Amino acid sequence: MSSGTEQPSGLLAEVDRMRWAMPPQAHDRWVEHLYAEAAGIAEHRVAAAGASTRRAWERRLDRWLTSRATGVPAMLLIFAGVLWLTIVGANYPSSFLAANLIDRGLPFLKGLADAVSLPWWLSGVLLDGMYLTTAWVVSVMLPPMAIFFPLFTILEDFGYLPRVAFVLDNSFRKVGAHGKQALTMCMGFGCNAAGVIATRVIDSPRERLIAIITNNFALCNGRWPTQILIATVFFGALMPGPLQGLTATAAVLTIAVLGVALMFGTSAFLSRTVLKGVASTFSLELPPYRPPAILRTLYTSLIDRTVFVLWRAVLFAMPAGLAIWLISNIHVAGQSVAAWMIAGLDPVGLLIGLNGVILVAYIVAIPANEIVIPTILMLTVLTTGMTEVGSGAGVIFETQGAPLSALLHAGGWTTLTAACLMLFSLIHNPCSTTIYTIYKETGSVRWTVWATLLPIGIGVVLCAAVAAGWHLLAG
Amino acid sequence: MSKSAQPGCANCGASLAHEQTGLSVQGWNYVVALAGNPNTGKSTVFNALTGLRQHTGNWPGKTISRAEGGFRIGNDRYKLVDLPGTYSLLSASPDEEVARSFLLFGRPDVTVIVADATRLERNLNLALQVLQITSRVVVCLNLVDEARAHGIDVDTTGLARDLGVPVIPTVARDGEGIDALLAAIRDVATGSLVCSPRRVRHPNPALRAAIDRIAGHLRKDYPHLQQAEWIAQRLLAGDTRIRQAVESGELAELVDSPLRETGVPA
Amino acid sequence: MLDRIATEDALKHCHECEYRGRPATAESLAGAMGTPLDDASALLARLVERSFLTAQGQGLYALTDEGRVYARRVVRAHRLYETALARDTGFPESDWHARAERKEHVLTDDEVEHLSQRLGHPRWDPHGDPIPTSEGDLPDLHGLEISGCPEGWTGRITHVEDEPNAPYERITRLGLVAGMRVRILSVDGGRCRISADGRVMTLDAAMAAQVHVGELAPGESIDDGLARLSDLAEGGSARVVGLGPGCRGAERNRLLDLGVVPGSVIEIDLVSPSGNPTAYRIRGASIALRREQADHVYVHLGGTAP
Ligand SMILES: Nc1nc2c(ncn2[C@@H]2O[C@H](COP(=O)(O)OP(=O)(O)OP(=O)(O)O)[C@@H](O)[C@H]2O)c(=O)[nH]1
Ligand SMILES: [Mg+2]
Repeated sequence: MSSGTEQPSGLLAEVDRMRWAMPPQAHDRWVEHLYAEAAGIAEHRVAAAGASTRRAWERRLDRWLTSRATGVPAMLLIFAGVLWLTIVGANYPSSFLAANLIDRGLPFLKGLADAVSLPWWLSGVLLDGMYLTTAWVVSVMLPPMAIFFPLFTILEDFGYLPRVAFVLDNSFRKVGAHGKQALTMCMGFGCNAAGVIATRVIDSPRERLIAIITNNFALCNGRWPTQILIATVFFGALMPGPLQGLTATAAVLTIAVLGVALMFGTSAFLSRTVLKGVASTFSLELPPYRPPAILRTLYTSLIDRTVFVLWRAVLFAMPAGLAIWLISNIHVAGQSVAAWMIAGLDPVGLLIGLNGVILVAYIVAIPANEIVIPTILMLTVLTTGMTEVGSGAGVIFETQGAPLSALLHAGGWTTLTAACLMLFSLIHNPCSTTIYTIYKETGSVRWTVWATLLPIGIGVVLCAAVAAGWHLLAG
Repeated sequence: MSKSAQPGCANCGASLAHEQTGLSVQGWNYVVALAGNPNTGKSTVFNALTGLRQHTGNWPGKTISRAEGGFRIGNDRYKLVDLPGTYSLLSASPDEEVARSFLLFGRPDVTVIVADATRLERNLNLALQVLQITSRVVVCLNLVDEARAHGIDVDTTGLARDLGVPVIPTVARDGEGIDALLAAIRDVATGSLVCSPRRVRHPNPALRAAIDRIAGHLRKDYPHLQQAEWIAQRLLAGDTRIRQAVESGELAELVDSPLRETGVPA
Repeated sequence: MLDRIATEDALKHCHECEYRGRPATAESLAGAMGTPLDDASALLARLVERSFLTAQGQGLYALTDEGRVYARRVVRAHRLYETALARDTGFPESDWHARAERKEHVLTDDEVEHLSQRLGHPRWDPHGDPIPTSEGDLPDLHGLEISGCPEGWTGRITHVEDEPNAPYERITRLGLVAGMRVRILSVDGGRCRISADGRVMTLDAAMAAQVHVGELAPGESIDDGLARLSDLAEGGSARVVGLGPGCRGAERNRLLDLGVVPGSVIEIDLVSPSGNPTAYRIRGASIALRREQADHVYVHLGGTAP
């Protein structure tokens, strides 16, 4: 056996010979036979009183959730409901956490630091840097996540996700993708890395790659709160009291739907260019609806989410806090590094409707999306010199004349900035964990680069277009 | 721990010192695999046995890679492996291949087939296939609460006789029947219950002859090979994974020693 | 490399001619390869020199044993690669040929063996053509062109020629593949109307020239009650007869595993907003399938036995 293919052993050679003489469709016959056996046993051993295994209410509900007239509107309504509950509900725990962790916690810790006469730079790094960032992440990110995900899990346990895939499959088919991409998209609403792993349910390698590359268009964990916060501060605030929640909901839903539209668009683009091909097959079992154990689900998924968010906060927010503090406090040629970066990136930022602060924040936040907002806030504090906010930003969801709104306006923010930030938060590179997961799942640098650069390219172009359009109309 | 009386299960009610040991699977004596169609409650059973919180969800395909946990009965430690759902052992998508490979080459001491009581026929299709590759099987007939609600009544004693392996009705979500399931797992693992599984044969006589011939060759090379017929059939069907196993000699590992007792690794 | 491609394409052409019982000439080669006649003649002369071909006089050429072995190796690579494309990728059917045409010249023997093994040593390619074995064996099959068959004739499609591509693409759009049973309804010049496994379709002359048919096996007949699962209307029921030959590889196995086996009774459970996919109630479960897949499922409507 010096080279070439190994000769199959005697056994395999015999198998190969016999395969030519196999009766046609032996495999079909075999599966048919297995099913016949199974049916025979089942017939003997199952006594079914009722004829149908689907209850009337399930049928009625399914008609509502999947029919031509009501399927898609019902889907939008359900997601809007979940978002609205999240937006309205997150307000209170968020204020509570901020009040305690930041308004009370920070001065208290600073007092402690003074008492033990910690050097200024150590207290700066630990408290103004790491603690404050982590506290911001926890108070801004945790409440929306701890409400959104339990609600979402209830939908999942009830059996709604396969219906989403069923309703959306035709659109996915038209763009050359797999219907189960809807399921991986739903998982992506939780965490894009989890969504990328979930694509293993897609058998076709081409369609799986499409699902992986476009998963980032499903707004994730780290981005819902950004959307909610900006929508509340800038769009909710345009409306009188009771309508604020609804307006913010509409704004966030618009962004999420835009994300889904972009997912379809890029899928279509990919399957006509680099991942050329036609849609293969789709088979999905629609399970019966199962009334979820609501309390248990709420409890376990609340714990799950809290642990997840806290863990990531420690993992990413603390080092980021350190980085932010350092770039703000290391001075080069009379200006902090952060100020240099912000000044340098400002022209580019303004071109795409954002500003230098936001771009620096996105650079700092490459490891994790969660820290974008805290970074933006801390850098804005720095550049506007509104140092009071360190202790006053607790009430971030209060919009009338609240420090946050005032702070951002002082930082030169307009409605355009807010709109572009929401867009850019939806459409930019995936976080580091997701990029790594994509690499692991595809084993390919090429596709990892595609998945990283495609969204950010689209994001920049789209934001620039919106900014240009805005200036055209306004000026 | 609630104890539910199970007809047809001699050991239920007997002292069953079950302890969930969560992630700790060190020094296990037995490996138990959870197999079954998608969305039948495998992960729910896994959680009930180990006390872990493996994600569950009401859609097929929730679990996509294998998860491990542990539990103890008396002094014996069990490693439990939750697998992705699979419709069959004949063809496989990437996630199903995980399940199939483990059932074949992971050599579990006991394979628990979690079946949906409301769709018995489809689930038996897989069960019959699993019975072809291993005889140490316990069927966990889950979701009997739903079956009851639909007026479906399954004769588990009769079913156990048909399949030649124990059949335990459960409601995994509420912990009903879990004790009986544990007892059955223990009995099969320790060898105090020896199963005589129903083995389905191919309906085509010519093909049966071909299978027997190849299986005969296989047995010559590996005298203790249990699933020779199944492997022969897969070879004739051109199953590349099985062919690889034959070529690489991986097949030798499949040979069951009569009872792999204390598998405590060093 | 260019020389190798030309050599292999020419040998393949001669092999095809031999297999279909047609003469291989410089004209036929020039036509098949789209080269000037002079180049084709020169190429044939070179191949005679390398003793792959012998000149038979009157401009006819025949393969030598050596030439046949070489040609079959290329054919084997081509057909295996097409089979792999059909099974594992999402490329449209009309792309397979062109891709295989490029690949057949670069695959090494080892790679071809590996491919064959990965595919489970298939015997037929997606067009219904036998794949030569690694020893170069090829069963002898000969089909007739469908347009040559009389009205009322029944038989089976044995081969769908994939070149030229334009008519082939139209054929694939109709869902006509090798293995289907057909009845000729009418022939009008080159055009013919046929019924193929429960679907009536019209082939224009160019398409008909690429569809080859053969006799039914003894005892086999045309099932006139055959319909497709996609024909099932809400409220009705269907009993599965089998899966069509166009449903291959993993797709076929998946449908079987889901319980789409002969004898299963299927009803419509839910229709999605656009009508595609549809959820069918199959052996106790609700399973959503796209229309393209339901098209592959042969049924008797109304759940009646034949
Ligand atoms: N009513 C009822 N529901 C159950 C029972 N066991 C599991 N479930 C529910 O059934 C659904 C599926 O459970 P899983 O444990 O995720 O099923 P699985 O078999 O692991 O599914 P895959 O990983 O997708 O193959 C979940 O919504 C469970 O809550 C039961 O005994 N009764
Ligand atoms: Mg599971």
